[in-house]
Amino acid sequence: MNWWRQLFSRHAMYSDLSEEIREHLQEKVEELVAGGMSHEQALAAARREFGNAMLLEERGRQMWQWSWLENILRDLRFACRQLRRNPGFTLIVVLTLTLAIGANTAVFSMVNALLLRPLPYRQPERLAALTRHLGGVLPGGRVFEEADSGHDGETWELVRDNVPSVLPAAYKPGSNGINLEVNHQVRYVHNQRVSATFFDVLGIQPLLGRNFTQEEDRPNGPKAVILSYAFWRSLFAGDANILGQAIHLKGVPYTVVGVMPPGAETTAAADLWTPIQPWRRGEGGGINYRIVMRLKDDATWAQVDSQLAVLHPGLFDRFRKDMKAQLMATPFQEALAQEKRTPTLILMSAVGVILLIAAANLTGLMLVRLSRRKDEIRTRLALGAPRSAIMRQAFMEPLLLSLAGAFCGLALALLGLKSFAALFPPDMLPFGGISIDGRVLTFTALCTAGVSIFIGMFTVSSSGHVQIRPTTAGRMSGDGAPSGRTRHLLIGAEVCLTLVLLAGAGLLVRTLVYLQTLPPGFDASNVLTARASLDNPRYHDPAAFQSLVRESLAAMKQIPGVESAAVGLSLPYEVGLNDGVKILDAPKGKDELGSSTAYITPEYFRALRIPILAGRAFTDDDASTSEPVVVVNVSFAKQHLGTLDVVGLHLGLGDTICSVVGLVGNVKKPPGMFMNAPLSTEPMFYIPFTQVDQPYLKLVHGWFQPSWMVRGQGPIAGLPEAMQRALSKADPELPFSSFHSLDDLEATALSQQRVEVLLLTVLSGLAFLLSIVGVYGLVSNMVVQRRREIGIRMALGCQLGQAMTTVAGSGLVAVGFGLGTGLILSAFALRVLKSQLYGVRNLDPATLIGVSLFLLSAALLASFAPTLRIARIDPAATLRAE
Amino acid sequence: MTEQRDLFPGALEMMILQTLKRKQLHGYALVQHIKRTSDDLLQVEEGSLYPALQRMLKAGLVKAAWGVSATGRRVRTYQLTLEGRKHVEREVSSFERMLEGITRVLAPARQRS
Repeated sequence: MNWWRQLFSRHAMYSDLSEEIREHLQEKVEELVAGGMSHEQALAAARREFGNAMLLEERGRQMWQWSWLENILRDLRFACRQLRRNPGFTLIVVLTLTLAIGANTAVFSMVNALLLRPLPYRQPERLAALTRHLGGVLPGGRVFEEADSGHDGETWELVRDNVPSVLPAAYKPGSNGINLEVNHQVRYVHNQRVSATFFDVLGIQPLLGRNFTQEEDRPNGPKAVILSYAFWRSLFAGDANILGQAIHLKGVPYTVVGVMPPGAETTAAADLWTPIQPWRRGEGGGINYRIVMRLKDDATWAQVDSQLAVLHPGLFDRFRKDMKAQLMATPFQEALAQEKRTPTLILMSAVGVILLIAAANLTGLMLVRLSRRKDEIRTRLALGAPRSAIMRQAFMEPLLLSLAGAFCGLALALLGLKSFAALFPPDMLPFGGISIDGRVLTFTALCTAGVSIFIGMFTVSSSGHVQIRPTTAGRMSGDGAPSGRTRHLLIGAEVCLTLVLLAGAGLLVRTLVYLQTLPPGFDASNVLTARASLDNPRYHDPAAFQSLVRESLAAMKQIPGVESAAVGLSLPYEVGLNDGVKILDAPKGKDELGSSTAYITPEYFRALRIPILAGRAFTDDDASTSEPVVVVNVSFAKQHLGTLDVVGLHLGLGDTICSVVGLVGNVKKPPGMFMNAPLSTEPMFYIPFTQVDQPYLKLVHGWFQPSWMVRGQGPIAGLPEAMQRALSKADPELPFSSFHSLDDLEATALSQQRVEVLLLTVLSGLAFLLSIVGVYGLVSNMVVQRRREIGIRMALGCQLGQAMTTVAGSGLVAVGFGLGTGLILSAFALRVLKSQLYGVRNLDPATLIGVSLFLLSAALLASFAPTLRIARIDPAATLRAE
Repeated sequence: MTEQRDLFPGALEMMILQTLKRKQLHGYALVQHIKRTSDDLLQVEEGSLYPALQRMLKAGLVKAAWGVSATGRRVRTYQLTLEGRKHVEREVSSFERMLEGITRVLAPARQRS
């Protein structure tokens, strides 16, 4: 008989078997009755001799089955029925797992994109970024180590000429906004500057045309541009004739030499690429280039390392004499991930902890359910069910629930991935975006398997402890001593992990509060700012630039309600320009250093209400022909000059000697030189917009878009349009690229902290909820289980309060255990947050004590609330039941 | 799963096959025959016959058909197939070899005691 026919004739087989067994018993009975037994006696004897008919019949059937598969299917059906019967329980479990697994999947897709997924380039393992490692001992004896990917023009030339084992390319990591003129319309587009070899290094071939030539990549070389596929399609309708034609970028013609293939990704979201034209002067005098290298076919990384080891770019030898600098090749992916790595891994740990807490909590719920099913299990054991079948069923339910949770969680992650990514500031997202691929799915599957095995381990072992005959002692204590202790441990572990998460979230909240409550140093109300790109040869001429600024500001002051108007190279909350400056005469002595700086118009301080503490602000009399002057802020005076009595001191900017004429208050700004906090009171000096020369304007406007700012007496309706009209009076072809309030800028500067706080608060809130529900469930189950015992105790004279404390106490012991271990764990675990904290230490006692007390008080409530039901226990009824 | 074993694995099946070699029988008669022949020395749980029969049906060693017994009862009668016949001969001869071995090992021990 082949298996196919067996499959369909099985029901007939089964009924044959039952009938046969029935006939057998009947024949036996008849024979025994014929031998003189009564019918009842005969029936009993026949059954005794036959053995367990049900079991034997089942075993007979099993001969026809693929038993393991069918057993599993049967257990599955049974588990489904059980879950359908308790929709509330099922819903809660699946919902918890959906959230936990969904969050893990989404965050892991980020980790995957950042650290695991190969970069979308040919042979990505042969790509490396050039990094400079600075090491040394600081004056206080602290060891200092820092890795940086920014390089100057000298380093670029050194690497280009002296490392034969690689093909290097210089590039700017991000894109900047420039103006493109098409058919007399000005468009604001994103441009990334890259060197001639850049696309060769990444291994991207243009769809049309060619890459840049070496000639185009020399300073002042021919102007060429390569378009992105999407931009080419949308702006030039995919016209191949565009190749060789000129388009007007920044007011100058650039020849289109190539179009990139669709989906080609570089390190920035760019509409077009232009040659970076690296050199030693101008931007090449600072660490403004990134360098990516491709290993040549017959070379090894060891050769590259030895070739790099002998190179010593001079820049850092001049500025940081106490440090040793070393160039190294860092895997490209690792270098791209550098700053995002820690926050992403912190987030991953947090969601991992959530999954653990959820699993612990669900285990508790399952154990309670199992303890309520003890009678059913006993009955089945007594009827001859093998213990293995009971255990298999105890595993099937967690498996089924985890699978349901995994599917819903995956669906949640798929649907929510876009909104999840939108939470993050663009520079915190991994390069190439996040998506759910095979690796993420495998991770989700592993999570699911992990959760079901974790829960199953407890339910299976607990079901193995059920005895057919309950002991009297068992009845008293609820027969669940082992699972009871397990539940206490689980709750303790939940509380422990929750404390760590809460403390972490608390520290991040305190960081954000610290950064936000730093005094801004200016008045942001009623100020509107707007940026425009001056990266245009017309405005490289100082006279043209000055008249544009003067005319547009004059027009803006005509807008009704406007109190003052100004222009500045950068605003508070924006990264400033870094420039070298020489201290010529100061109490602290002569020095050469780098500092944040900006050119400004005379009304800048008035418009932003930055206080002038000594001397004066700039005036219209500070012209290009008058004495060069600077204004410094308090941080600059204290850190670099060593005195607040600054008026009359002198600074050297290049070859120019400037007099310090004023001292102003600090403003909050992201750091320029060293990353010590997202916002701080940076040392800064200001120069008048009239005292800058052509190379300076050309250089800084390639990087920065200056801001126009207008202070109104109150809110002014239609201000953006009025500002644009005012600018157009000075230059009809110059658009503002964007308008911002200063609050917007602060939000942007703190966006990473904000999203970290948001996510960790939500996650720790979830953990908190799960733990408190867990404590409540533990104690309330205790009340149910110990009902009889409590009744007897009260009948024997135990007071209500005493009974409540006894029961709640066991919950509190678990909580206390959890808090204790949580505090110890925090001491280690919170170290990972160190790099993300500002204005608060990673072991901040106030935060730790605060969250412990918060958790403790919530746990107290959750422990005592269920014990109120003890009041309803009637001792007399209990005694009657005994 | 805990398997209730008879004397040794396969013994019950071998006895069934050996019995069926002589004549075709239904379940009840089979059990009675085995019990009787062994002078009730072998305490076989009557029901344990059926899983064994099902297994042999599946393996094609026996075939079954419903019929009416001599006493006029509706019974399912089992009959050895050709393959079952070969199988039992193989099994019995290997069993006899094993039994002989066991007897030889046990014999001196018995003399000594």
